[in-house]
Amino acid sequence: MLLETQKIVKAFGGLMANHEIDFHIDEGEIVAVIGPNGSGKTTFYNVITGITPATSGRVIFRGKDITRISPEKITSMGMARTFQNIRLFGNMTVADNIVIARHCRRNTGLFDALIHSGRQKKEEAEAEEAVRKCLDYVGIYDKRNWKAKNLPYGMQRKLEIARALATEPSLILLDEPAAGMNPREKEELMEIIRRLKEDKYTIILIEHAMRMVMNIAERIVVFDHGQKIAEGLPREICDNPIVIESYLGKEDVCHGYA
Amino acid sequence: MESKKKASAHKTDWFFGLNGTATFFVSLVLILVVCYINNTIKNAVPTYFQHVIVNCLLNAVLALGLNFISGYLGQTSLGHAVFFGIGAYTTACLLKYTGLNFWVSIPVGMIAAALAAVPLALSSLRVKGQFLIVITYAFCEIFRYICINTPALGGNGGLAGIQSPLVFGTKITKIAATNKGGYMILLFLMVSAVSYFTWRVERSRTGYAFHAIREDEIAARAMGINIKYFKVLAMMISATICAMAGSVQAAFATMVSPELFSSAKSIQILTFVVIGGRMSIKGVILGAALLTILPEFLHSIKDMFSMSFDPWTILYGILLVVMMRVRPQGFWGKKDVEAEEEEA
Ligand SMILES: Nc1ncnc2c1ncn2[C@@H]1O[C@H](COP(=O)(O)OP(=O)(O)O)[C@@H](O)[C@H]1O
Ligand SMILES: [Mg+2]
Repeated sequence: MLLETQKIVKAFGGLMANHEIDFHIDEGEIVAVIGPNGSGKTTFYNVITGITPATSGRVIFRGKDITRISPEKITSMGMARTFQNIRLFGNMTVADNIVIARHCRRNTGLFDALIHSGRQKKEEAEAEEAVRKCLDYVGIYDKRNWKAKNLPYGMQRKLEIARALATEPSLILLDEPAAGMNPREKEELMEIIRRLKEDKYTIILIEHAMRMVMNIAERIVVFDHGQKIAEGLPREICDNPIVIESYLGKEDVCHGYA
Repeated sequence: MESKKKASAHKTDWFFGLNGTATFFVSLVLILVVCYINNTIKNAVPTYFQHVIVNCLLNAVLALGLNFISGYLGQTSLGHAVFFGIGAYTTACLLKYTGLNFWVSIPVGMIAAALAAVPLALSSLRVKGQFLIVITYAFCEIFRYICINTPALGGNGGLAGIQSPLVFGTKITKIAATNKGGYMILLFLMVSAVSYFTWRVERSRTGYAFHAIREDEIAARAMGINIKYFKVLAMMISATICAMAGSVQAAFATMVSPELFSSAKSIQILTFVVIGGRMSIKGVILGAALLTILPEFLHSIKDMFSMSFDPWTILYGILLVVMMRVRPQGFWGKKDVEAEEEEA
């Protein structure tokens, strides 16, 4: 098991944003997390990545308890995420966004910078290589000199993914990567996620686009009102009356996909 | 496609298309000419002008120091005079009470300022905007009151009679043809060294961490950046640089006073950076020079036309307002939308 959560509770005042969530994901798996807005999906990511630590419960990543570990350490342990409300380094170039993400894989200090040491040069070469590789991965290498905030919306989402890749993660958490994308971009995104799977990344995907979820998820977890209300194979989720009631609605959104 | 063009050796546009090294040598020659011209033509460069040049260079060091906080880290500090003062008082005390060498007092002042930077940085970790301004301002005021109320630090009057530093056995005031020449060369070398350091750091792992924190702290943490560590580091770098200027100021003025910690000085340093152009090395240096020369020039207008008021104060206000409206990035700051996008 790559990641496991045990009875995660996250309370904001009286609001239970996450209530006793048990979750697990194996190496190489793609798990989708679905559920209505405000059901606590993003909060769950924030808890796992350490940005807002859990009120109670445990998060175990690669066999290590990371519940109280800082987000920066968790990132260097190999967990990366994208943000639902895009959080790029907007005034920096697209390439610089990738270079910044290399931070956790570099260890040069001020002295190396000052004398431009061999280590510094090596890291710079690696960063340049990462820029090419990660931007090519999502197909925006030609935009590397653009300011990140001037990119079209869909490309900003792709840059979020490229930036996550640059941290050399084993587990990637995607938070509504298709939001605001047009149909063509959604297709491209699906292609990117499939390629991630081929390249042995483990992926948790929060997404409302059911077509995408049904196409690529191997397992689906459903949240509602901060609780995990269902879990299973895509087909099982489609047939689950509780899920249909709370999220999918009466119409048959899954038809033809599962 | 010119993507093969050196991307690693980042270029900074210096003056008139010169690169960093060329700018250094051209400026060095200019400074030496100013220093020695009086040998041939008596008073070709009046002492007053030399005094202004020294102040420009002193202020440039301060601006480069604050640039780490108000430029790269994007935080407003209204208390940077505190590090200037700490450097100056350290040098003054060491020279007066221990007879220590001036050159040794510079690093001691830098260390003292760096240590003072730690509590300031830590106390401002969780606050932003106006709160940070208040904290930095208060921090500077605390030091001012300590100096006023400590007899050993000379109280209100400060400490006077500080010895001129020696350069290889010669007084710094004697090494050039004029008594300011030595300081000009010393400060010029300081500005150059700090510029080089900044230019190197700008594109290092540390520099990128500063950029990331300015842009988005949560995303920065998600990239593995320890924002606490780098905020403290930025404050220490900034403090160290400003303390260097303080040490020279103490020797140059042969005295120190609590006025070094005035909020006017802090505001002045901030305007160098904002008017010159945040995050632009050239910008903050020129900003410091411009805002040092301009008031001197305008003060002289007052005498010339025997005006009853000093036009500087009014023009200064107007300049600030107009700048913020017309060029919020500063005179030499990077433009908001980069032209590079057209090429892509
Ligand atoms: N930092 C916070 N402070 C207070 N309430 C929050 C905070 N973050 C999220 N919430 C609340 O927690 C609930 C779950 O939000 P969220 O996790 O963003 O849902 P989802 O991502 O599933 O749409 C919402 O009611 C939201 O208002
Ligand atoms: Mg959400």
